[in-house]
Amino acid sequence: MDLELKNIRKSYGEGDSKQEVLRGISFELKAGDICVLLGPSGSGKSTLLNIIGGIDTADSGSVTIGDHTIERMTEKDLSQYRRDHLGFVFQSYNLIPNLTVKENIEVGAYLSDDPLPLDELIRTLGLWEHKDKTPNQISGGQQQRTAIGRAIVKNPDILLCDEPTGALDYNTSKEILHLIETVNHKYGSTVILVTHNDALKQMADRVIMLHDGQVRENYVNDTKTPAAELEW
Amino acid sequence: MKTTRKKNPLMKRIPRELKKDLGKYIVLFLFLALTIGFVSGFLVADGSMIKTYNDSFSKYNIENGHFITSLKLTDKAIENIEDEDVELCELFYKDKQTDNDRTIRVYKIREEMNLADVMEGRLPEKEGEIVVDRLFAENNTLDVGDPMTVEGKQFKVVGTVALSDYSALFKNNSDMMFDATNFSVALVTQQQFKNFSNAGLKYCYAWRYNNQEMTENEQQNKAEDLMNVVYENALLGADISYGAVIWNNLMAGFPGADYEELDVTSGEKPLQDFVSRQDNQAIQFTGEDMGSDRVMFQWFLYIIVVVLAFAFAITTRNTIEQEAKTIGTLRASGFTRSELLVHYVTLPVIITLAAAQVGNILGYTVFKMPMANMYYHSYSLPTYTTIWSADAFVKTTLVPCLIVFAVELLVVGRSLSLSPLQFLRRDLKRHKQSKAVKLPDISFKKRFLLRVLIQNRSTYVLLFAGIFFASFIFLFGSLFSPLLQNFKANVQESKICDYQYILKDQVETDDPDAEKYAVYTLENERGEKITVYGIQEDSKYVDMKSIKEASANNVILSDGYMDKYGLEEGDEITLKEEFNSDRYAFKVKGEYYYPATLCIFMTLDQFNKTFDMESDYFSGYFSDRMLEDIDESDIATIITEKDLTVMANQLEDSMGKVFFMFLLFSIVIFLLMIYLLARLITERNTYAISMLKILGYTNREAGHLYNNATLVMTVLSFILSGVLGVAGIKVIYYIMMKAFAGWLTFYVAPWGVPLLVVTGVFCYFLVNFVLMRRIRKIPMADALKDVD
Repeated sequence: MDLELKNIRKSYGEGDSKQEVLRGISFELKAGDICVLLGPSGSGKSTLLNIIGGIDTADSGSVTIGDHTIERMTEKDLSQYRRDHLGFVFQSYNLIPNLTVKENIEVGAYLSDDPLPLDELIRTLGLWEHKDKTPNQISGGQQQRTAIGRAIVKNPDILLCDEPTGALDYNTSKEILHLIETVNHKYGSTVILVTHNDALKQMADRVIMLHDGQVRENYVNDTKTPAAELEW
Repeated sequence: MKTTRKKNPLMKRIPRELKKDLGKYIVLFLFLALTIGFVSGFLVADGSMIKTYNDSFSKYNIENGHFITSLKLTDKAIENIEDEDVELCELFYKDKQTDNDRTIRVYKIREEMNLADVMEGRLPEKEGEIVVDRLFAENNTLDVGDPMTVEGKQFKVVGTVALSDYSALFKNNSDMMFDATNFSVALVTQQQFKNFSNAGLKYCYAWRYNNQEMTENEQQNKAEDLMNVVYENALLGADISYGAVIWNNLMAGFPGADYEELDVTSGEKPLQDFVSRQDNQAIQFTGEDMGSDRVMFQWFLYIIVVVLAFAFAITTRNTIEQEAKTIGTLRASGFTRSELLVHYVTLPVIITLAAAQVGNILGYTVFKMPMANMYYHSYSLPTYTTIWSADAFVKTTLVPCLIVFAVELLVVGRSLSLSPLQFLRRDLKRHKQSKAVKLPDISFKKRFLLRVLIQNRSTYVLLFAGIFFASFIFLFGSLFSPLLQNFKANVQESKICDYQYILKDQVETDDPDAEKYAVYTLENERGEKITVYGIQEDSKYVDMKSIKEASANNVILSDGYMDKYGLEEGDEITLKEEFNSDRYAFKVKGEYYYPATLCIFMTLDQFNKTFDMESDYFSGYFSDRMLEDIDESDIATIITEKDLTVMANQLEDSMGKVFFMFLLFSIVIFLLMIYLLARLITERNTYAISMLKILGYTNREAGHLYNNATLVMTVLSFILSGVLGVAGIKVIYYIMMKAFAGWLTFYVAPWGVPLLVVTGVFCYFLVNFVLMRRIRKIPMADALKDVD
């Protein structure tokens, strides 16, 4: 599913305390691409991701994914849209503590009429040996793998990742990025990855750099580097 | 290959959530199950009892009413009355005393109406045998086979019975309360009945309508018509002494029967009593009480379930707060609000449902009989058979589940109505608070306490609601006994004399201690009996200076009368004759402290003028000692302190255990509410407590910082609940007592509210002991991990 953003604007607060977070963001993404949204803290990248994900609303502008235009959707439609097309991964894993790894992924599978084969996915995630453990019995990296599994098991058109390696160490971060890359290859999901880590732009098909609520750079990366080879 | 769609995996959390907080859920489950069991047992017993009671009217051929005539009815009179489409039945009785001063109302074995249900033993078959009321036997530890002395003659108790026309043992229909300890009905053989002396003989006739299909209203209208016919036919024969007629007229409210002028054969005012079934307290009181108890127990259950439902809801809301980010992620992933709502509501509803099932099983097995025995301990009810009650099942299963579901839906639904983003950001405030509440410059500990109070204000509101409700029950249970004791003490303190004689004949005494007075009974607009006293102006027994000012129609009212009807000096009251339309208007001149009964006082002269009596008329003596020179046959009755406190004693006897159960129950609610909510506050602040420990606070200090706020709120809640509870109970008490005949002055023991507060604080410290153990177990590592 292609994604198109047109002149997205978003501000918080009112009067003197009004702060414009997004100031006319426009870009397009091809289905199956990995897009890295780069930018320093406060540049508006998470807000933009939330708007694409339909969990926040733009003041103006439009987000079109395939045939769907988000701003015209009711809350119920939005919920269905997220259910059918999107997967979310956050910096904090937000797993359900008293469900096992497998069951946490099943929570995602439940949302789809046609989920990915569970066992195969768990093996792909490298969690087979841990599938019956609860989140507090596994490492942070394994928890994030579980969170990714939960997001992609429903085979979403777009996987939205907000600083997915923000709480992880270097090696674990690379493992997670490699996993995201694998998921992108294997299942064809479009990936939008929000990060402030400049090195990650090398693994992207498209790089969009935000600064002060505006797109500073938007280019296609012709020399992609596999995540496993990234250095920072 | 794709996997097939499965059931919502979130449901797998339910048993794990249960296991995780097993202690808390067991407490909630047990409390709900026991409460539901208690109420279910009551509703089953009550429903079965009401069915037994209602069925008894046809099963035992219970009268539609009865009347008492001064003279035995002639055959012609009976014929005339039966022409009114009724069937009459002689139910003559004789009131006799036992050797231990109990009154036994002796009947012949009944064969037509008001038949007996033999509860134990058998009916008498020969002279010297007697059966008594089952409850009276129980209260007097009489067993089948025991001897019993009545009118100086020894009898053998061969059985105990329940007479449905005396399911509540009211000696007189005008009595404020029945007395199953000092009064009983009894059955003997026909010959034995004749063998008793005729002292205390009453010509009582019961009637039943030939058409039993009439509505209650139609029956009442028919009874009014019948009364006129009975009245006209009641004196077609003469077979009784003048004195008895005078006495009977006086007691039944037919004054003006100057015995010197009374022509017994003239048919003048011969009717002593006329009571339809609907007006007969001995029959109706039980049914009405059972009906009102049913409503009270239902509401008792519902209020407890509402309080618990809010406790469940607050607990769930706390879980939602803790899981906010996960909820945000799930919502962002496409989980709908209703899917999550169902998930969070499921466990409380399952627990309620399970508790309701177990409670109902307990109700039908364990609690049914104690509840039935509660009635058996108060009323003389026939043999009871358990009846399955769909109504009880709905009220104790479906309704509690619906209440819990509705409250959860309301509270949890509101909590889940936030947007996914708010959950992800843990921004759970519905309304943005621009800045923290500014606190005065007070010590750190006090400010900390205030912050905890502000943070948990909704929890504390619930704590107050729970404590307030339980305090109500506590006060109800604890104030009742002192109220009765106070009443008895007041009656003793204010009694007119030790012996209040009511005479059958106007006989003189030489005892200088005796003082003549007159007494009569009228009724007010609500049909409540009001005793009218005529006393001497210089009475040494009734210390009433203002009585001298009471002239013409000015009267002094007892304090209970004033209190019950909210009367003030200068108000006018109208009283009427019981069986005719004569009315008397009086102006309230003052109040006299005499809580024993609802009565008015006037001078003896005024009394005789008001009721057209001879100027030297009197109906008895006040005396502080027994009047030895009055023949027993001339005495209708002697009222002593025991007679005035019979209602208080009966209430204490029949309700004492129930009120003790109220006390215990309220303490359990105190413990439960304080535990659940204090624990909630601790759970909510686990991270902060852990952090305090890292900073160097001891377990005790960290615990106190959070628990002190709960202590303060607990104490405040108890004090406020005590004050509001007493005020509320007073309102309810006045409403309740106005529905009863008579009046018990409202009284709150000075230790009532302090006892409540002390009990509450004691409960708090018990809970605190348990909570401190939890706080000790909070690891410091909690503050160092899982920080988003």
